[in-house]
Amino acid sequence: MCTVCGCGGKARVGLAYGGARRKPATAVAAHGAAGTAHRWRALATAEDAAPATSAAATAAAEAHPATRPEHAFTTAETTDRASAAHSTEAGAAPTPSAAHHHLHFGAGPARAHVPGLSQGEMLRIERDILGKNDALAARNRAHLAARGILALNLVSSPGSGKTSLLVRTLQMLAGRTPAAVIEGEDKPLKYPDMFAAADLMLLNKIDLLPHLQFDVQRAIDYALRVNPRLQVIRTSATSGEGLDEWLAWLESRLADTRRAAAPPATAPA
Amino acid sequence: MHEMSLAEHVREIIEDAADAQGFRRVRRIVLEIGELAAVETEALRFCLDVVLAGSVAAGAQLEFIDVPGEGWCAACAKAVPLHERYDPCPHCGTYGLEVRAGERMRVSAVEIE
Repeated sequence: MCTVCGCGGKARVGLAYGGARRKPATAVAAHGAAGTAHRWRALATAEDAAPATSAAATAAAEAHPATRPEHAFTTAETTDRASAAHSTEAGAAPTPSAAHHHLHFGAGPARAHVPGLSQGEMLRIERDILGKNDALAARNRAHLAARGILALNLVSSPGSGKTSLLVRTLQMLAGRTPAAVIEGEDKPLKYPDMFAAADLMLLNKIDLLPHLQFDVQRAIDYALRVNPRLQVIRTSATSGEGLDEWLAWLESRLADTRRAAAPPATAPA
Repeated sequence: MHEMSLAEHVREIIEDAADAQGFRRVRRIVLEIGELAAVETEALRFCLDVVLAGSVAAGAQLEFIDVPGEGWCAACAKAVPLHERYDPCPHCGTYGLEVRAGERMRVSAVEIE
């Protein structure tokens, strides 16, 4: 099952490059901009990274339904559950050999004890269910960061216009910045964390406001209450409003990413 | 929706442990589920029944331990109970508490034969 939207398909990883006309989900089958595309495939196969990125090499053209709730604009986040707060947990995860202790009922973590049941041997496991995901996500993040690749995760409610916004963004980025869209497996577990983990909120379809009863300021206030650091840009992929600001945000973040990746003694490329 | 993949991770963890420890039958699985982990335990129970069939833990009794959510209120400088991620501090009403506990899900222990 697709863990993105439960659509019944397998997770797809699509690539699209700036100016690509195809929708991201089908772009991988097109093998469009071959040159740069190979760089991304190499990332997946050489590192044997997350399942989602490995799928890039073999992803079929089968697309998700148009209603899928999430596109990832990144590889780093495809296996990530929430915030960097978990990476320390993953890093500190004990090795299996160290993690297993034989225990017996009536001692230690006996809160697991259920009266009246036959008492077998209790074996302590103490492993995070998503520990493996966290480790893969940390590796992907490090891989991308080391190469100065800005990876973003674009999350939204269904129908909010992500695809249109992406298509338009890629067209505007064409010739300026190489960009790829990776649509892959993600944990909807994140959804409750979405606003807390976000850096930027795009309030899209702003051109529809005259026809709607939607209190923009209230929406922004709620979002800021949850995440006081959240930046907000009002956009319309239809009219183009706010897209310059969005691209400026993207490029400024990309510059930060590249600066951070450049060795101190070396001049930036 | 994501409970099926969580169940698959649980199975992997148990099978890894079975390989490492040499047990062949699991009677009971103890899972710790954080209050803020966004998991439906009933859905997870259903998925585990399906996913564990045919494994060393087929038919194992499932026990869920609820781990309460906890946040840190910077204004009060103390830890407070947190039942929803975006709840305000119950003492001073401040939003934006830092989550300290209750986000994780773990396989805590198994009872083996």
